[in-house]
Amino acid sequence: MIYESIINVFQPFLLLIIVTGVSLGIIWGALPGLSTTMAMALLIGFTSTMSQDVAICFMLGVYTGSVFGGAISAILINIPGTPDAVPTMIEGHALAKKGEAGTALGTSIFGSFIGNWVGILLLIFLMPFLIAVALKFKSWEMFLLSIIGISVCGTMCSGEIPIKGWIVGFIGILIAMVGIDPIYGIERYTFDNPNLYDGFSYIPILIGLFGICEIIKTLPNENKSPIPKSIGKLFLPFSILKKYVFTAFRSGLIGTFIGALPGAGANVASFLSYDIGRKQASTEERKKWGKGSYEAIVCAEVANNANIGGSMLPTLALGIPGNAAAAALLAALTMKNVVVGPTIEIDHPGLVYFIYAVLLIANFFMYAMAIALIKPCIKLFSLSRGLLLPLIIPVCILGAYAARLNLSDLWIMFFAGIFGYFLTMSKYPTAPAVLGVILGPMADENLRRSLMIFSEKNINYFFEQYIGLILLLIFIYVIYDGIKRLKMN
Amino acid sequence: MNNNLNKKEYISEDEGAGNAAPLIEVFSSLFLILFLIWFLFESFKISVPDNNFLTAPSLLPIIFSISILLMLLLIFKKGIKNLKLKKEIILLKSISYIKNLISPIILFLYIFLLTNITFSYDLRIFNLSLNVGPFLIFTFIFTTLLLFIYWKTKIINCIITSLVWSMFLSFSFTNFFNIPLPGS
Repeated sequence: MIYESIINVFQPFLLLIIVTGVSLGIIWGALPGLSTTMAMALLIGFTSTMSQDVAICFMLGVYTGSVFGGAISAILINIPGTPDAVPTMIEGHALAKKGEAGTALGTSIFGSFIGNWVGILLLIFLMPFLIAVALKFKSWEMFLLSIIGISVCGTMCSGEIPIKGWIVGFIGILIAMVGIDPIYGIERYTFDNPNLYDGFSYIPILIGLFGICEIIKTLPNENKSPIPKSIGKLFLPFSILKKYVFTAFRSGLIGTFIGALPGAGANVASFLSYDIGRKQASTEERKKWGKGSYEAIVCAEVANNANIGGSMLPTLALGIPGNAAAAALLAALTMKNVVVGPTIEIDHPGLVYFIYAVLLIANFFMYAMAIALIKPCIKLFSLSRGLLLPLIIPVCILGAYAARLNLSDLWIMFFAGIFGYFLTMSKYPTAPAVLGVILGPMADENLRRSLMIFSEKNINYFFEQYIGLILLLIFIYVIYDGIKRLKMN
Repeated sequence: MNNNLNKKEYISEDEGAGNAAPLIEVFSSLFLILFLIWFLFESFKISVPDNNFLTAPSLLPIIFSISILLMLLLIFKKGIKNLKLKKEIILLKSISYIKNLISPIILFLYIFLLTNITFSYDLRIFNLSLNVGPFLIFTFIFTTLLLFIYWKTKIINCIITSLVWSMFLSFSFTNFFNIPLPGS
């Protein structure tokens, strides 16, 4: 089964789809203002008529490519294509100004390649352990897991003011409550509108929050980027990377671990790894930090790419997306009737091995396509956002509509976009809302089931649920840590 | 940028999240509080089967609505405490409302027309078909309008770009992705 799943990926058509996804991802990621999440959210619609294997290859290709793509514009034009490329921008652009753009880009490509390897290998290694633990989870544990996921996401997304993240995450849960109640079949917040009986599909919500909201926010602020005349020779510095093997390994671990935390994505991974790297660097190297350090680029790029493997860990094993991009991937998988979670290996035998193989192949293609696409990407930087963003709007419309062929989804997308804009203007994070919408039904059903069980047993039964108690303590700690941050602020 | 990075105490995934201007905090939390009061009111209207509140469909919404309300009250209180009216009036005057409202209004009209007008005509080009329907027509009109406003180039460039893009999307979605277009 494992062998068959891996061999399946080597079909020429699937390889072509992976290359297409990776290339699209690199170009998308390189364009300033267009994030990985936005790419993933918009492309869900395109996968609606694809087969399961093709959709997985396409989405994972885009994911792998777009995380790296952000580094190109960060180094060459001092604008991060994706937010996680900010540390790369600080260091890489300083090197580009010294005439070392080619070497900086080469370090970034190789760092991304190594980062992906570390993330994927850790994913393969840790997945069986996480699934084994998750199979012991009952209703109470699943409820706690979902609210821990939303709370951690809220904390990770809003830094110093975690309650803003929690508010948005909990509002996401409330949005997920619309529709027919799964236990008694009672209507909740449907107002007798048949379009609301099935609840809100989270695909138009994702497109609204990450596509339409970004467009509304960015369109009025036109910025022209200075285009570099040449990047010099693209140099892939094995010697530089050999020097930073330990740094790369440490950054890979940080990236994977951060990726596995719900809500914490490539941004936190690259900033944290960059920060730790600075503290751990030699005195001589530390002096270069902020003025063009290759070690700093290794820290940031390895971590944000290792994050991909890390984010797949809770997504596949627990059904809890590691970040907003993984949430989009989860939405695409759900559309293909793939139920992720502890029983993934029973429900879909061989699927996880297929995903591992796709990730590994996408990583090789990322390396090759990054080298091939850097020069064409420079030409794309001359395109104005005033041209690009209006052209993305019809793609958002098609993406939201294609998932269910339901016109009311266009309104859901629009209002999600307006709500996202309102949240952004009020400095609330948007990602926890998506996690809330995805995990809301799981939290609701499992809380009520577990309370029904607890009401029939005595109090000792509650204290005998050891995994539940550990999860409850984790939840209390997350809330305590959030309140501590709030007091410091 | 580098100095800011060094100062940062907690790294956040969403770089835009944090403290907003007090007036915005007050306004946004008030809006959400009102919404949640209405949501709570609707939650209490949902029936409780078997009179067992522990399994009631409105249990989770009520718990989370109350939690959000308490957190919003904290933000509201903080906003009121930091409110300095003169400063806030300057902030309100500095916002370019028309500039920020153009794209949502255009988008609203675009979706309104797409969801309310239905017609379809298939134009055959060799063995492939181009669906002339609301999607093609309204995408062309509204993309041209947005390009004209934000791209700031000659109208003819906007028309050509918009026409080519609308036709490409209609053509590729119906022929290659086999996805029906909205309104057709």
